[in-house]
Amino acid sequence: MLFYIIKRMLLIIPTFLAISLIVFAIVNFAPGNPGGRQIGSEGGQQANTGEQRESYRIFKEQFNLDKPVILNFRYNLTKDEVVDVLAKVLNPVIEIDGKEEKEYGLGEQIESQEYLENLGRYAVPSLMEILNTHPEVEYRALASQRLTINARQRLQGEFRKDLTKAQRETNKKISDETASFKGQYFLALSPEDAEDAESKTEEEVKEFWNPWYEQNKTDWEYSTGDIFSITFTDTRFAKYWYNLSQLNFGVSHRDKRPVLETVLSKLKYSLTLAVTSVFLAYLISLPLGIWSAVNHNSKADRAVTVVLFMLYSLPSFFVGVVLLNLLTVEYRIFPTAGFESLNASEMTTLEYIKDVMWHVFLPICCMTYASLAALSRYAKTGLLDIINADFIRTARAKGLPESVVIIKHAARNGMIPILTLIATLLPVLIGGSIVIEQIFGIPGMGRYGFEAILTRDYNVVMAILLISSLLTLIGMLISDILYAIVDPRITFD
Amino acid sequence: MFKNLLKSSVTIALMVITVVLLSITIAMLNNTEHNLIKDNKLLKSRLEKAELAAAGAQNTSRDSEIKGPNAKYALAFTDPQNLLSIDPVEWIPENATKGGMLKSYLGSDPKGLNFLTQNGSDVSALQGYIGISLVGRHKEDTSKYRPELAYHMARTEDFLTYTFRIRDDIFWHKPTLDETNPQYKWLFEGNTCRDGHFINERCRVTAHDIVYMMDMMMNNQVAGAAPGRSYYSNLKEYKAIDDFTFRVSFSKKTQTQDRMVRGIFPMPEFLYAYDEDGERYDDSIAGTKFEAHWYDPNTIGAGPYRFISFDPSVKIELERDPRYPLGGNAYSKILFQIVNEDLQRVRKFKNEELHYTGLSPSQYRTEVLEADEKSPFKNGTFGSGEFWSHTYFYIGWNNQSPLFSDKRVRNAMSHAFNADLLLEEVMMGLGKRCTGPMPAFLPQYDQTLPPIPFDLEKAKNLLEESGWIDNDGNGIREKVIEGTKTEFEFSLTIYGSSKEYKTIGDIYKEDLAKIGVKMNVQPQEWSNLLKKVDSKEFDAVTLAWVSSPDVDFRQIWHSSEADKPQSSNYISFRSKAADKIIEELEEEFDVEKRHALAKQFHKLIYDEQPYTFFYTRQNKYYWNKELENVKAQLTRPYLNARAWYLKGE
Repeated sequence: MLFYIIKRMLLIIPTFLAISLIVFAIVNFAPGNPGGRQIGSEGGQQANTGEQRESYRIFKEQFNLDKPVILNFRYNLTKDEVVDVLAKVLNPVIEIDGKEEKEYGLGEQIESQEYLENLGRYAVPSLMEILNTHPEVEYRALASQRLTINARQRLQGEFRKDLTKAQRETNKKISDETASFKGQYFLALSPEDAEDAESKTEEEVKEFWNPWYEQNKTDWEYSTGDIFSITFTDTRFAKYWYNLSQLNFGVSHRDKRPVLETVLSKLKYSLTLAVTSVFLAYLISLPLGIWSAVNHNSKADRAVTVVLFMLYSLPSFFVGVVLLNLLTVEYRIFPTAGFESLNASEMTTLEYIKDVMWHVFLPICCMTYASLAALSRYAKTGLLDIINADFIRTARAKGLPESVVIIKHAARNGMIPILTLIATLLPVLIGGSIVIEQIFGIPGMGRYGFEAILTRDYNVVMAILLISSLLTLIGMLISDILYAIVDPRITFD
Repeated sequence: MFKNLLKSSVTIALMVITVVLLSITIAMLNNTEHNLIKDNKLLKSRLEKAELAAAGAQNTSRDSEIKGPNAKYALAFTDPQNLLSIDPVEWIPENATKGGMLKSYLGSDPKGLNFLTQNGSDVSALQGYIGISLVGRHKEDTSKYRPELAYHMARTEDFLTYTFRIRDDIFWHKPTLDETNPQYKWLFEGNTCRDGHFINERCRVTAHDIVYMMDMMMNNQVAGAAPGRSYYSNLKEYKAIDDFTFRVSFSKKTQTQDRMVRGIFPMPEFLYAYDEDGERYDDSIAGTKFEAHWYDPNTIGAGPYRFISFDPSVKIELERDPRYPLGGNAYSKILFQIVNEDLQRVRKFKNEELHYTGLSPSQYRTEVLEADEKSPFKNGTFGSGEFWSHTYFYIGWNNQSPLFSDKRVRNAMSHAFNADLLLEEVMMGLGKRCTGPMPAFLPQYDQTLPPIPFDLEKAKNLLEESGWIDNDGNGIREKVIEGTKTEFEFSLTIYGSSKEYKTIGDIYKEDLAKIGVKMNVQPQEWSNLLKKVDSKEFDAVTLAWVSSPDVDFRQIWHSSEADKPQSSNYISFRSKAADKIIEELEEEFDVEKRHALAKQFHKLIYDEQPYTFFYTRQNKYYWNKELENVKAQLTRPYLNARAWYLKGE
């Protein structure tokens, strides 16, 4: 048994790894981008938002969204590839069938611009080559403009508090260097035509970049080791996995708060709802199932079954809204929304418990009633199987009272399958109930996850998916172990 | 047998005793806790009263023509150079009751509360309560500016240099942190305040705080400030002349920056420029540290209300700053509940958990138009009002598409759009037809231009004139464009979560079918919709623009924006005449001339019909009659509760 448990626990690790890879891939390859503009409060766009390009570039850099997803081959970048990208960014007007048109679609132009940004420092050698050798002035000019951004180095540990002295000094050097790049570009137009006060002549610009490149050339001479480490470690997945291995789910793109912290703070709400409703569902459906099994096929049993299935088929969002309109607005018995009263901090512990119970009564009703049907049916069939077994007949033959036969001998055995169901409910606990939380205004996990999906908040979505899949794995293990414990006939050895 | 009985009774007795004792203990504990909380509350209210009394004593004004907080700067307002004037409309009447808690709401969680890096509408609404800006607009004449932090604002004759002189009685609130924690001793002892500006345990707002705000806005590391930064491309220099004078100068005169400098506000240097141990950040990382600061998600200001707490997805609490001298803070507390569901908000309002609420068009229908007479929205239980928001809704035509490059076709499309019916039946009449590129109630809007009428015959004629004729009898018009026969079929992209847009799309589709044009309605999620618009991969799209009272046309209409990816001129509108007006407007400071130019621009756009203009929205809002003096403001935030107050008991 112990061997089995150890084996299963070890198996969880590769399974979890595989899941995290799949989750990561699905989330990262899904259409849409994080950090996109939000819909305005009045259903429109804000007119005066201005240029957001640079803000978006920094955002991508901060969240590693500029890196390739799984493997990084950017050290292989050749000049021709960069020229292709530049061509798409420039998007020259060419003649197609005697009509002047842009060579590439605008979508392609935007994507190339973004790709060029994402290349970061990997593009520097090619850009230098283009700046010095490309025959067309537009390309040389664009290369110089890109260099002022692509040549920037990232600050070290910019989000960390405890920077060492050496790191501080490096950062100082980096930011000085970045500052020196400012204005080191020229425009393809002649300086008189250009209204840009900062622009320089081509010679001046080359005089700046060539010595700078000579000095820093070693940064782009990769050894085999470098190539190996870049391929596998300078990627979104590697960064993500490294953080994950330290139980760091990163920060939310939306509010810049650590995801794990927020998830833990939300657990209070979701757990209260989920645990109570699961508990209640068992408390009601177990006796109900036993009663149904004993009175199998009686009129009362049928009536109960009909009622249960009617409840089962009523969607909870509908029932929730009806209950709310009836019991909070028409008759003010329950609060309209929320988990606790707004003056909760001024309550004594006892008052607080009462207050929370008052608030969660309706949502818990909505979460519980639908599962009654299924659970009580499980309980009933489980018991029916047992009631016809030989040892029950023996117990009856011994002359034991019927109540003892049912409760002591039959129920204990018949409840095995339904008890093990508890374990599979674990992920529900963390996933929360999106609909119920939304309707009743409870700030739990479900709502958090739902909003994260809408805003493409990758880190939050991945954290919630991973935590619930880990819980599912653990839940399945527990349920298997429970089987063995409650039913001595089952062994895994 | 007897032994057994004894045993069980002893057990039962013991259990009963335990239960009784436990209950007593719990009751006692509860009592103690209760008293503790009561004492705390009492102490707090006493403290507040004492502070209020102190503030009152401080604020008794000297004899002067100007009463109230600006009396001590009365001389400044006699200076003709001063661009500011006293707002004749007070925040609240003098006899207004003070105190009580305003129960307000926010539609979603703010993404953060740093006023410089966050620019969502909910954050700027909060900033109106917590923060203070240099100047503000007058409440009724929104073209004039009133003093706030600055009591004097001067501009040189070349429109290049602006000088602000600021008050000496505005103080930063105490940071929302545990005062007893020794780690924050440096903060509460004012170690990082400028010398001589730590008074009565609070740091004074100085010109250096404005310089600090500018530093952060111009810092490339601060991504959130990039939209603001783009307006300062002509910035030459800014500095604090002394502790109470701030000067900013530009290399080129533009109308836009004249407006932008009025949006400058101070940021607390004594807090944001330092790490958690009171050590100043190195300049090289100051920007990144500012963007993701240790003090987040708390916020701080020097305005009428102090930030107390932010409970994500639940609430934000503010309390009155009794020492704020400029008024407009009647409530002792403001509670923002975060309610992200419309139905829930109305339920809460009916249940008196909110003091006021707005209604969407569909809610307006169910709660007011179609409700029976008993409805509290109808029987006079609630007060009601409306305000106009600076918006216009439209259908944008991709001017590059071969279908819509002809202005006759665009005009035909406008004639086929039954705007009056849709406004009445779908938008519940909550709005006014709009004919041009600005909200329909602005003074620079040309009221003489009639809305384009719904006229299918006219539309047919226009289409025929421009060569779209149904020759093959399949019910769809076609035209030979560059040798290929093209059917008049296109997609209208709409925002998929909006029921109203969906209905509009369906009705428009039927009307277009009558004139031989096939339109497909294509609902899109917001981020995908923006992607299509950004890359110009659309035929037509329904959207809305939200603007300010001074409309800036460049971003949306100038030809130079048409070629930029992700620009606001995504329909690729190009007109030399329009460009000329835009450029003239940028350098014109005279209001009359500006309005004339804007009207000229309006006419031009009206003729071209690059958009089919739909309407400007009117918003309904309702309030609990506990509130007094309720009126909406003319500019955003429209529902600013600073001018309201709660009835006394």
